[in-house]
Amino acid sequence: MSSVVLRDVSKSFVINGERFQALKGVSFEVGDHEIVSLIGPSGCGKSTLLRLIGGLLPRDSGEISVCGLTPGEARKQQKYSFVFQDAVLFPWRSVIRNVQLPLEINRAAPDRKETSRDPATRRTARLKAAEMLSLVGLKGFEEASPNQLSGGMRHRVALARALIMSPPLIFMDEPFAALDEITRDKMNIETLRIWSETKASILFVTHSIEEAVFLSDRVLVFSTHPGELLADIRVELPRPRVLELKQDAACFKYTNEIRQILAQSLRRLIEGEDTAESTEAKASACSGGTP
Amino acid sequence: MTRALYRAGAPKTPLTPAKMLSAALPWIVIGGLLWMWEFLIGDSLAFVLPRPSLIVKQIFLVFPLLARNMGSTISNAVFGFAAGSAFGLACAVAFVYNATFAKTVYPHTLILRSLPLMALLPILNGILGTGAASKITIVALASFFPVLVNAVQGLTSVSTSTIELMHSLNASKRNIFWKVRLPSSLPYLFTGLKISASGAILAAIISEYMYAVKGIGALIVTFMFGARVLELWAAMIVSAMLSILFYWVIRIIERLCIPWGKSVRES
Repeated sequence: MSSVVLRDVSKSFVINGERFQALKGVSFEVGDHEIVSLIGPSGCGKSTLLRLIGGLLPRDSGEISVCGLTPGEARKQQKYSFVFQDAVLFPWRSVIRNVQLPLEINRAAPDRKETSRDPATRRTARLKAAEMLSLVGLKGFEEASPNQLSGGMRHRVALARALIMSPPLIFMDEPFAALDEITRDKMNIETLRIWSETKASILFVTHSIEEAVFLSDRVLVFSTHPGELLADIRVELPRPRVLELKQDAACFKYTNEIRQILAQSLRRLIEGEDTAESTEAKASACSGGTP
Repeated sequence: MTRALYRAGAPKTPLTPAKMLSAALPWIVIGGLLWMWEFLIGDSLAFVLPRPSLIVKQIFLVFPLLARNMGSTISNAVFGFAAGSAFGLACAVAFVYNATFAKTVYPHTLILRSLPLMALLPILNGILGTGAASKITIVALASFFPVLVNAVQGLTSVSTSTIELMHSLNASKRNIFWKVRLPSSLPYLFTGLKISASGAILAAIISEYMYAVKGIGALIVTFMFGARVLELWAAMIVSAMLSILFYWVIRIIERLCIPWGKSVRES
């Protein structure tokens, strides 16, 4: 069973009275235990797409199913978790209590019998959080304050928090974009290691072509204005992947291919604007490439 | 090991003469000013600016009288501050959760801040009587606005990604309030509380200018009309010290409530 299925999903926003088409007719599937990256120019609606799938934003049309459920229902059952560009840690909570947060919130839900105040559930929550912290390599930092951690460590905590509900799906929205390149490489390797130790699928939004190729089983390339799926590229690189792969010709083959698709779509967009301002011309210019 | 390093804070650098000077500078300045006041102005302006040494002496002389009157002033200040701050925080929460209420009422709260408290005194005395109630109300009015404005700022200071994270975790509105909004508003809230605390004693003194038989405000009025300049200065300095003390009490509570520090660092 595919963990995510999208059929013809569209979304537009109204900004200053003008309708702005963010996503148009997007269809794809994410398989089980698969890493799929979404890549495209800024403003192509990648992050919006993630929020539609996560049920944080309503879609205009099309169908989305997450683990066979609607996005809202999948959220209620915590079938997925989010990792954002900002680690979003609370400084008034210790590292371990930040990781416990999803358990606290979802234990307190009215349909569950246990409460977060019960000592036994507290103990198991703590044990689970400690286990997640050691999985992300932060054993010994349980009682530290998030303010004492480096950028990379903060993202490890965010990852641990995302893993604690053992969701089948993890949505990562440019999680390492604010990190320096060395830390980023390290976090890529860590992400792959953690992914291989869980059964989760990852949907990964990034601006970096190299990062997308390095991590993914598939790379989905998007155009902008409107955001449409240009290509679905299967990355046939062996796993487990090592950093040296980033310098490998096999990797270049994929990054070049993606770069060309993006350049072509950009060229068409510019030419379309030059030749005619009519909406038809724009639409035809943007519809190149099939998924 | 990293943690131990962080906990110790910045490594201590040896005390250089330049550092000692910069630490001593505020005291040198105030000392210099007092010295000039004492010896250059001297007794030449005694009817408005009596010499500091005389004022200090007067503080000790008049202190029993001030101490007997301090109780009601302090209690009015504390209760008024508590009531005004609680009301300010409650209004802030209501404003944050009800856009219509905020739109219609928030702009008008500025009126409460702009009213001259002295002019309100006879009116409040007429309504609430000449007892403590009217005086507490004056202090509450003065405390309300700084807490309100800062609390609103604090409660809305939560980032979009934080709210998105909480939504993705299936958090209820209540969860978001108790686990995110309230704790992240604390640094702002305490800024408001510190402003209000330092003004609460002043407001309590003003409330005792009329229809009061005891309190530092009543004493100040007596000294003022009796042209008892030295006693007036003594009362002034003691009430200033009370204000500073109140500010520091709130500041210590702030330190205890916000152990993660005022600067919430974002990566």
